[in-house]
Amino acid sequence: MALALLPRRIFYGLVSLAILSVIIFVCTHLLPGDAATAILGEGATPAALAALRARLGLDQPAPLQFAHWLGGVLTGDFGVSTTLNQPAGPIIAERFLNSMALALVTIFCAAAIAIPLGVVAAVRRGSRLDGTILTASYVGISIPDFVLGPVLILLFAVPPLALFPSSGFVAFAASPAGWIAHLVLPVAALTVVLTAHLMRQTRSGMLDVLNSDYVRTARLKGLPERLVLWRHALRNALGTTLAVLALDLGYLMGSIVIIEEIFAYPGLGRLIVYAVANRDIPLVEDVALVIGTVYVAANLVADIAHAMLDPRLARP
Amino acid sequence: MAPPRVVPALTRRAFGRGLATTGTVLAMPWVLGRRAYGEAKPGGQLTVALYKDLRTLNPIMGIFGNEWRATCNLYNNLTRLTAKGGVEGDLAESYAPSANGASWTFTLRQGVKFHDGSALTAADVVATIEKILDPATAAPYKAELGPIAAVKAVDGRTVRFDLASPYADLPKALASATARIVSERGIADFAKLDSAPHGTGPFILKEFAPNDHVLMERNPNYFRTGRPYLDRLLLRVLPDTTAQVAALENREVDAIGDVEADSFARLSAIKGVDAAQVVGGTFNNLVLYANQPPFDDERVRMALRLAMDREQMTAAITGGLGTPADDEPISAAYEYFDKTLALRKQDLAKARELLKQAGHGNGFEHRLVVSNSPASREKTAVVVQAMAAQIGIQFKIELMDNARYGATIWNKGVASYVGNYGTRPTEDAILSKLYSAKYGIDEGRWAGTEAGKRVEALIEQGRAVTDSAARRKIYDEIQRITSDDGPFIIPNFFNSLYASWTYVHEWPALAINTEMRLEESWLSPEAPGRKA
Repeated sequence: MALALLPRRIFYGLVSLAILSVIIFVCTHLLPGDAATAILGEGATPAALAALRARLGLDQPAPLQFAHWLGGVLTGDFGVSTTLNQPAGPIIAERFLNSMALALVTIFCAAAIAIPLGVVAAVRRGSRLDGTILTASYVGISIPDFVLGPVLILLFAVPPLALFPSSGFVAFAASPAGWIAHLVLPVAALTVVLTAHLMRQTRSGMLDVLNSDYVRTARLKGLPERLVLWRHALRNALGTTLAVLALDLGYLMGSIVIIEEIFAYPGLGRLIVYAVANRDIPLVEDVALVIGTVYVAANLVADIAHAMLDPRLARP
Repeated sequence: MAPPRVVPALTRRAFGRGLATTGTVLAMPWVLGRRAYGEAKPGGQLTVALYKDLRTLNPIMGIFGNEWRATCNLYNNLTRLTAKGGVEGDLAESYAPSANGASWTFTLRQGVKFHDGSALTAADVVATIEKILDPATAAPYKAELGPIAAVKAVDGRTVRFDLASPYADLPKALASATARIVSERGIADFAKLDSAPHGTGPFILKEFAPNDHVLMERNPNYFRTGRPYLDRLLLRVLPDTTAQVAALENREVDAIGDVEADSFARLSAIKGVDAAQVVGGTFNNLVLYANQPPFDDERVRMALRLAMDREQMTAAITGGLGTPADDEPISAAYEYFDKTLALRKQDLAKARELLKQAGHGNGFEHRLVVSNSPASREKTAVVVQAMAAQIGIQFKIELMDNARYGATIWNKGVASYVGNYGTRPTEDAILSKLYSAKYGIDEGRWAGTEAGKRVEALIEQGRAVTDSAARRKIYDEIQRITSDDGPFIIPNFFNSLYASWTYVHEWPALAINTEMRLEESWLSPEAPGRKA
């Protein structure tokens, strides 16, 4: 039973997150500069820096600051952003939902496009169609998202087409149509890269399976090709694809940093760029922890799903 | 010594060169595009795109232009700058210095109300100024308010500023972004001031998402009757310039409050968009420490100055959207700008000769650290590097993340770097900051030299004198000395750039581009913000 894996996986996940938070904390402390230098800018004098550090609690020993932050997080208090001077929890919660919407819609679109294409490419291996799909995926992988974003804006957001808003965000509650319109371009940019990747994984996973003994057996016993593909091949090939999809969610969490900045989309990516640049350590820690949790959880889900598709993996 | 050659200001500043094709040029900051639009029409929403960080609405702790662009619509100061570069009362009805210059007295307008409905009194002004001056506050721009020793409420509507030394510029200094008047209750709740303003301004905060947007609504009780015209004001942070230009073109935003030089040509090309530029006082200064080799030798500093072709550099660094400078920080945007100071001409032979005399006949290498933000710093560094290489001074450029630069390089005395300063309300604010060890940071470690001491004394005099002609003489001399001997290379000033659709009227295109006061702005009927 796949669920038997769960406790051990969750335990490993928590250990990873604990290690992550220590690493992030140490790294941010190794960087020169702190929130006080960021807040004061060219107004920084030694006296002003000292006064501000005292007010922000930055004059406390680093381990104490870390313990304080960790104690807060364990009790559900994400602390106060040192540079925004606001509780970090609500800011992050809102940004998290925005980013998850972006990521999940992207994953869905990418899967809907990539999996059929991957299967077709594998089944028609060596055909002109396969070649076209492969080439397109190479192009997709090769375009960096910081190029793709502005290109999409110039093509689809300005006259003569002007089909979508160039950037920004509208809350779903305020206007569902506006919400969707604002998602189109950032999702498209993220989907292009992800689709290429996912499609190639599906294709090679499918090829492995199509060459396996049991598919040959299934064919030899006279099963219709459709049944062979759907029941025997795809089900097995999807295991790999799902694992890749989960890893891609982590990859997406990296890509959204750039895409959110280009499209002025208020998500976690823009927040962490801001937090690092301004040495807002509680915010950096919180966002890193949230992104880490997403990554761990996605892998967990993928493992379980994989185990359900392939019962051999569920054996302890 | 030959008298300085007088070159007409227009030649010196090369107005119009390469600008003719790139939009409206407002040669003088006070010649604003005031066309006949007819009656102002109240109503509608104006949406303005901004480029970079907008973290806080606390005016006392703000350091970014966008924060000031937001707070000037939520608050008022005691005074405000006029488009002509002068100053007038804002919350203050009148103000005057005492006979001996030891204090200034401000009388407040009557009937001004904060957004919470309470009346403005002298106690609010005192609470605000005292909070700024309190060292525990660590207000970044405290020093630029001048030598205020104490601030007292004489009665309910009279405030007296007692000065440590006479200060003629106090009314102008009080117009600076940091000195917006916050109510006593706001000051008492200082920790919440980042997101909960307590002002008297033309607009009331409705919604604030840091670094994303600020939504404001018309203040129906604003003390200037009939203002503001707009019902709503939305400021949106768009950190990508492609997206920003597209948003304007699509009319998703009606104006851009801080146009990046790289976008200006694209914006000018959009039909129906007014792309305007005003001569500004923003500059990058390459710091040459005057207390350490090799730039402690004034001949080496002069050699470097003589290697610069300022007109060519201005064209390269600003893309034609700036004016050449002479290594000193006072631009034509300031009242006491010295028009008669001739722009230094490139003279490579003389530069090489000076270097040889200083014992650097074969040139030398020098470390130059450059922050990655704003991007103009790197351009300045690369262009200075190219000019300096002609006489054998090889700058080794090191690009650095802005936060790291701020913590390890800026004003630390360890390496040459490129600083970045915005236009200030007064000459004194920028001169004191750069050259005075007493009031500022003596950024070039130059105050100890003979010329530096002279400038420091002149800065002190300039603060005390109120007579305009006498002040002009003082600031002229400062500009001459700092340009001949100072510790910086300042090749150019950057124009303040704006873009708005023509349906936006009375856009505040000022030299100080952070004072984006929109209480006079209004929208024509065809504006999208009127249809929603």
